Amino acid sequence: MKWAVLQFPGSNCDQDLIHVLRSVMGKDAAYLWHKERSLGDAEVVLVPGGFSYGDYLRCGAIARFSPVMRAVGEFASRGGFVLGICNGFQILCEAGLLPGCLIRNRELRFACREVVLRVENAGLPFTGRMRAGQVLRMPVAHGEGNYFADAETLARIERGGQVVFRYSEGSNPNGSLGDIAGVCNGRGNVLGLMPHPERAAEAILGSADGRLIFESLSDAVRACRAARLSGD
Amino acid sequence: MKALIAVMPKRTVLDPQGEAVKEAIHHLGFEAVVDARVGKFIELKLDGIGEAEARRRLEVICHELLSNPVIEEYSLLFERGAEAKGAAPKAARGARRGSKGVKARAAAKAARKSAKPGKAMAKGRRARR
Repeated sequence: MKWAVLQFPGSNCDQDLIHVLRSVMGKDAAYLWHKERSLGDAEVVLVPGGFSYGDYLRCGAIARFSPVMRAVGEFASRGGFVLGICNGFQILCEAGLLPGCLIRNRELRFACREVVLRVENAGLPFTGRMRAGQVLRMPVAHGEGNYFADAETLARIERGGQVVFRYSEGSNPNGSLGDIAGVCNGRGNVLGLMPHPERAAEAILGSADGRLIFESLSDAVRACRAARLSGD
Repeated sequence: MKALIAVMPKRTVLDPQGEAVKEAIHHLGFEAVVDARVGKFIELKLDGIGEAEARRRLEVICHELLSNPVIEEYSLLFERGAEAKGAAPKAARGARRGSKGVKARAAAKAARKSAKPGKAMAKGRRARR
């Protein structure tokens, strides 16, 4: 297993992710139950969408304390690649691996539709196959995707290139500050986004733009392996 | 002993739920409400621990789990057992059972309906359940 897809009680986009990784990308991918304490030989950790723990208390608030999350924190601090999608993004924010928080959509409605994203930072392991300003089409499906951070944090992440994806003008489905759709940590190895790249990875589904994220990650993993080998 | 924890969205955070509640109250014809915030109320029953130690532990738990400091703030109060119920903090009692104002008004209303104040009070309490 090189690509680990976490499973919490209530995750429901885990199978879509496995499908894309195995059948579309041809990767060695496997589920990892949230009670596991080790990530094994994983090179990428994916935190899927869904409603972990029924969204009790706050989205992601309880999943964050699952045993596997300690391992994910250590993995991230060693520079490991972590991608959180939708509820996965919420979990990573709650865990403090990403700045800010996702609150109730401004219009109080569940937003389920295609959005247009603009790539803001193309220099990351997740965006290497994109160019800055490129637009991507992907669906969103969430009730709590309204990105919030205090003014100071917002200024810091804007300055530091941590805003990776933005909803293009008129496409913001939830009232996110600065039209923010995806952010990364300061080091750039942890990314969270509300839209679902795994639901837009095949042309037959209306868009294959989401595939660029998985392809970029695949390149980054390969580069890491090569660097490790030459280091030895 | 009980710990009573109120978690509220920070003033700086948009509270669309509170806005919707305010709108609904206006639709009921009560325009005096100028702001509404919706939060959570969490009641924890505790056993075998003193208040000071419980507070020390729960402050951490409130910060880490029960609230998210990015968007929320919390208040933590303690309510003693039945033997010391009279000494429970007024604010905590109010938060749990509705404010004293509501209670007094309901009792007054019940009293107006009946000549027997004692019975009326009981009726008033039942009506609120």
